This record gives sequence, structure tokens and C-alpha cells, in this order.
Amino acid sequence: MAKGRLSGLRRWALVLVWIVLGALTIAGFFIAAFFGAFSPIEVGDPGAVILLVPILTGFLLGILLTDEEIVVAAGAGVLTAVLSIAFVGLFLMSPVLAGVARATQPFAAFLSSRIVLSTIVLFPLVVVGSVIGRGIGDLFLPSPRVKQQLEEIREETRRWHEALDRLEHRSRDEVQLPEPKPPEQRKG
Amino acid sequence: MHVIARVLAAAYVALAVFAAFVFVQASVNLVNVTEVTLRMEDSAAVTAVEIVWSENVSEAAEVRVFVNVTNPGRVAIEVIALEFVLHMNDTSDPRPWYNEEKRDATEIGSGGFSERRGQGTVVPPGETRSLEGAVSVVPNTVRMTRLAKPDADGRYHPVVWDPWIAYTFVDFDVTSTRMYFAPFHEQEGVLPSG
Repeated sequence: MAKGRLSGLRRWALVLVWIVLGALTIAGFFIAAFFGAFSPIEVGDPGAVILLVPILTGFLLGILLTDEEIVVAAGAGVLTAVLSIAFVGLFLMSPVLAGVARATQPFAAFLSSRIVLSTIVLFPLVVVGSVIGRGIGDLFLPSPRVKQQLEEIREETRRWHEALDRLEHRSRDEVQLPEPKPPEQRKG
Repeated sequence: MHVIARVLAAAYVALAVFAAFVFVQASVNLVNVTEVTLRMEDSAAVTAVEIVWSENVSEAAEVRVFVNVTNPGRVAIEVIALEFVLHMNDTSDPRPWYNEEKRDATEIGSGGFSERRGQGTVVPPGETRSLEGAVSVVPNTVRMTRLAKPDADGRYHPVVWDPWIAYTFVDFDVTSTRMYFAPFHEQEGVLPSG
């Protein structure tokens, strides 16, 4: 019982780790592309990076969650998008958090406009990427555990079929139909 | 996990570590740039005005304005422009030097410089650099008439109005910022040299 709970916790912790790492990847590249002046790296085409990195990260996240239900992959995509937007917000808030600037009303307006823009751009891309990744992973990269589970299901189905066949044969042997009587001949 | 999925997982982690580095460094850069932008307000001032002139109205004169710029932040800045409007306070006029109508009547002209990015004056963090802007005055012009207004002691009282600098950051390709600073009036008066 405790072992099962521990294994469940480990599973969810791993999902959470993938979500956090994915959010960091998306936020890092989004900032490098959208706020290129402050980035230590130069991204070639900011538009391409803003569009492709969330899809690619979502896709990889989906593949890593092949063992989970597709709903979990979609949920993980949603959480990754939310967390990456939070990271972008954290980046924009960094001067305030560092005590260098004060959070004024114009700053809040600027911050919310950037966050809304990030949400619009990132959200659908990450979720779609994760669902596609989960589907592709399921098709081409099933884990040994999933493979074994499938094999077990197939084996069980086979056993059921055999049992049903046996039952059918037995009932045919046991239930003897009466011989049809020959037509009676009339005397006289 | 499938063997290919394992390889992808390793790539996923590596990508995240790299992105985390980008995230942290970009945040630090944003903090540093914001710090300079917000603290620059009091970091520039006109320190002196020098008049290179023989006091002969038939000879050309040059008025040099010196501005000190201090970098209050942790990242280097580059001053790419300095601009101001030069006036010569006519002490015989009792109105204060900053009076708008008086300024209209005493304006000599604008001066300063403008450079391309990469060719300006770099001010390292915590250091101060002196910038110089000049206004040339040629003979037989209204400007010369306005320049030749010494007080009873033969001293001149130049006014540097609307001074501003434009600066950008050496390491970050951000749009240049224009910063206005306090106007300057030479109260004591200055004697021409040359």
C-alpha cells in the first residue's frame, strides 16, 4: 500500500519536474527572443523562436509523458504554459524584486500587457505540442512498461477467448438434442 | 521509458539548464539597465563654460560648455549626444536669467555633438567623464551682438538652457535614452580667454 503510494508520488514528482524544466526552457527562449537586448545569446529569428520553441518543448513534454494518460499530458501542457508565463512575469518584475525600481501604475500596465501577450502566444502552442507529442510517443516510442501492459492485456483477452470457446464446446456436448421420430405408419 | 525517449529526456534537461542560464542572465541585465536608467537623473551636470574670444566683435568667438556625466550603475554606458541652448545673460536687464521673454532675447544658439553608436564617450560603471560641446559665434551677426554683453566688471554670464544627453548601453542593444538635466547659469561670471 505504502509502496504503491510512494511510486505514485514519484510518478507525479517526475511529471512536475518535466513541467518546471519545460517552463524554464520556454521562458528562457521567449525572453531571449522577445527581449533580445538583455539576452546573453542572440537568436536568429525571434518570431521563429517564439513560435517553434513552445511547440517543440510541448512536443518533448508529451513524449516524456507517454506512460501517462493523454489528459495528464494536456494538463501538463497547460501547467507548463502557466508556469512559463509566470517566469516571464518574474523576469519583468526583476527590477522591482531587486529593489531597483518601484512598482508604479504605468509599470503595472506595461507588465500586464506583456503577460497577456505572452499568454496569447504561448498557451495554445505548448498545449497543442504536448498533446501531439503524447500521441506520437504512444505510437512510436512506447515504454517497456506500456509494452508489457499491452502484452498482458492481449494475453488476458486471449485467455478469455479460449475460455469462451471451451464453454461453447462443453455446452454443445452436454445438451443432446432428441432424435427426430420417424413418421408413424397407419395400420389397416 | 523507450531508449529514444531517454535521449530526448537528456536533451530536454540540457535545454532547460541552458534556458535557465539565459533567464538568470537576462534578468540580471534588465535589473542593471533599469538601475542606470532610473539613477541617471542626477548624474549629469554642466560644470563650466569657457569663452574663447578676444572680445573684439569683429573676430569669431567660441563658447565651450563642459558637462560631467557619472555612471551610477553597474554596466557601462555610452554617451552619444549632448545638446543645449546657449544664452548670454544681460545683467543690465533686471529680469531673472530664467525669465522666458528674457531668454528669447538672449539666445545665442544651440550647441553640442551627436555621434553614432560605438563612437560616443564610454562611461564605465562608477566613473565620471567630461564632455564638451561648443557654440561658434561669427562676427557681424545677431548672435555676436547677444554674446557681447559683459557686466560692469567685464565678466560674462552665460546660461546653458535645456541641456540633455542621449546615452545607450555598451553591452546591450537598447534604444538610446534622452536625459535632461538642470540648466546652468554662471553666477560669478567668466572672463574670456584667448
